[in-house]
Amino acid sequence: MMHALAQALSALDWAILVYFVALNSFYALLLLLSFPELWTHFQLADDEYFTRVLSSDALPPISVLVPAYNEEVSIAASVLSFLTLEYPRHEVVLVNDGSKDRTMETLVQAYDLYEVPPAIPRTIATANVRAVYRSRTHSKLLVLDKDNGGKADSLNAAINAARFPYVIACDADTLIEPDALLRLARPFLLGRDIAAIGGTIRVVNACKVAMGRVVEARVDSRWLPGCQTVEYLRAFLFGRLGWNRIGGNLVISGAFGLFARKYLLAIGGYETGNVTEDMDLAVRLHVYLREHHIQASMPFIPDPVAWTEVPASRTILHRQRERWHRGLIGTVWERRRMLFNPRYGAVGMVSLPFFAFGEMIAPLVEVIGYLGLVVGLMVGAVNEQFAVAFLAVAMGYGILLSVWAIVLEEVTFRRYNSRRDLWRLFFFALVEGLGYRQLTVYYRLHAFWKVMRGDRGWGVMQREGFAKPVK
Amino acid sequence: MSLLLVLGVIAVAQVVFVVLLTAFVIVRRERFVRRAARVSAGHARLSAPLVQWLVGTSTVLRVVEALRDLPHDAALAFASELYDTRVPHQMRGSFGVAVREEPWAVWAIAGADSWRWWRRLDAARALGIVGTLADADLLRPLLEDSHSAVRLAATQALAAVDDPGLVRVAVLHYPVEALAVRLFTTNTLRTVWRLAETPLLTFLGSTDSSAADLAAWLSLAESLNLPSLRAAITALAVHESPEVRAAVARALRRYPHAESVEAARRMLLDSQDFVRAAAAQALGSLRALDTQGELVHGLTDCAWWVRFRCALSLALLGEPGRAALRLARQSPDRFARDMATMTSGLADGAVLELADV
Repeated sequence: MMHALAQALSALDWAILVYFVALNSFYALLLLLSFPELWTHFQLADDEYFTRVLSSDALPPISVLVPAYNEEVSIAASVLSFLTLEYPRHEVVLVNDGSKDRTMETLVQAYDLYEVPPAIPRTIATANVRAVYRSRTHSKLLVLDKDNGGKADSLNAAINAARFPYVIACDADTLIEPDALLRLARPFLLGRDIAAIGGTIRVVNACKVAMGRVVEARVDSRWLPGCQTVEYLRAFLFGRLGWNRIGGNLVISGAFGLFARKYLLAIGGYETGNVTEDMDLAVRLHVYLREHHIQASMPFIPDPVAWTEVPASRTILHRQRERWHRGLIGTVWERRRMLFNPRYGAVGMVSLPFFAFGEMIAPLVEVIGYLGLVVGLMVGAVNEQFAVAFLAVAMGYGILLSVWAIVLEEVTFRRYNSRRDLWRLFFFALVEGLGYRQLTVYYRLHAFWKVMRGDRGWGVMQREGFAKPVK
Repeated sequence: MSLLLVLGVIAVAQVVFVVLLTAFVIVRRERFVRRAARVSAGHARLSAPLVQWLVGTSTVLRVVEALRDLPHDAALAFASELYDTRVPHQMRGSFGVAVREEPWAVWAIAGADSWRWWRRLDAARALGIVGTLADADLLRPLLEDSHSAVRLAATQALAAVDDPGLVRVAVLHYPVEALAVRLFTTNTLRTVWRLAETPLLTFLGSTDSSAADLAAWLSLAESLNLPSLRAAITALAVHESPEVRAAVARALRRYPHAESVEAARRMLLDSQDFVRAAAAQALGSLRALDTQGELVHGLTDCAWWVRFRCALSLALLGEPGRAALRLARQSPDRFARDMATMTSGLADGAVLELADV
């Protein structure tokens, strides 16, 4: 009996080792692939000459779509920050998604809104649009007041109302850097046929904010936001850039992504039943492009930045990560027929399998690994030195990837100017594997439980607000 | 070698890597700070001689000397910015001659045949400042470079080099260029319009050009706004491709003439809604008061965009158009009524912005 158990544990150890090596090798590949991408973008992003070109009227006009629900405190400032983005031609389409507070009244007052007939095409079905408003003071602003239908439904209503060929979906509580739209539009200048473009999301928690703008980037000294700062750097600076080279970028952030409106209309807009509408949308776009033999690309570019507040409490982080993972599970399950299907190119052969077998089941494998290790040590089936060495290598690998992300940040965009923040980044890169990682594994495991129970809710996401105004 | 030993070696390698990377970041940060200080000091030293040269109390040589103190790439970037934004057109020639043999300019031009695109970009940028007719052969491959950013920089050098053959190449390649390269080509061709006029007339009149190419040349003709091109543009108003007809309608906005109005009026009856929308927009831009009846009728069009453009164009016609819109608010047609109500509520500034005249 004990012999059989020992054999089983040994086999499990080997399986986990192989999984670990395969997964981390793929991460290493993404890292390597990200170097040329990052260098190219850095050359263009850093080039003042090219930046001047970006300010020209050669860029296509863009509609900024902003869904808002119960945002009365911040909505006036948020809208102003969207209206004053540095871009030759853009409009802001704000959708009040049946807010229960005074969001609509605040908007009417702040922007001198007047009601106009709802003369907008209803290409995508949405909840009832009660009224359409224009502003007497800001002709770029269009406001839709509609029944509550959720974020995806609001974005669909905004897509219907948008005038311009490209739309950017933003969260009302996300701070977009003034030149971010210009930078985001760079691929248009390089002549690519674009279906979508993703930009970088960074952590705003400890940053100094004035007039809806981040004026000094800082790294939060608190454990959870600090670890997430490093996590975001890693995810955006080499994860998504690496995917650019493979051609299977599956995530265009819902808080900051640019889309060709015609493709959004063609796929029926956002899926209202999905809890992570951004990944679902990116996958459906890929499917549409492949099935219709359209050669449009969906690149990620690193220098346009939007700042978002990350959870500072374990409760909120739990809800967020559990929801994200539930969305991942839902998307992979719905698209399981694409797995290893050459018809879908890199997405079917590489991206989706990676998200299914790398990202989705990783927490399960990790927990099984921990349990196997503990049981193995108890029954003497696992060598203690081997266990310690394996854990050290696994943690070391995570640290190495995080440090690489900091290096990439330092040699390119260098947003964090103070040395103290640099040291903080290194500190959180070192400690991220001790507790934070395990915590997120637990939250992601919880997602499997909720999926089995059929839970489709979002959970309440409380924010702290941008609490560091500059005097 | 046992597995344990392998893991041990990997762990040691990881530690070494992390230490090296950390050291690299620290050293790089220090170098960056020092370089930034050097560049900043260089910029400060440039400030006074630059102002004195621009107001005519000093020669360009002091500016050239100050630029020499900067690192090559910083000198090129700064010179390029000066050239684009601060040096008046009449002083650009003397600036180009003065810096032609400077080490940073020689360094940049030497990269014209580099395998690294960013070096070719520097070369194209430098030619934009110091280029002459003698550099035509150097510039030609950069105009046809595989990287859009290089082509974009090379187009700016067209004005400095002023070669009819290169201008013809730029006009010929215009339809296949990226948006920004087109814009830059357009801006440059405005300055050398005499060289661009003939090839553009030839291409607009060619019968074997594709619809996409013709549409692109029409947009160039719209931007150049040369009276000699109007007849060629109007002749394409009956082209079989709706893409070309729409481009004609857009281009006619810049050519106020009775024939332009007539052509746009005819296109308001086109079978394609986007052509009708462009034609409606053109009639508003041309302030064609005598087409008010057609525009009012357009408010009942089956396509939202046509109704929208007709309404905005009516608003652009001044008081008679506004009056027609007010009247249309009582129209029996629900769509016309809604559109008229929406646009008549807009302020003049909003109409101008939305109409994109």
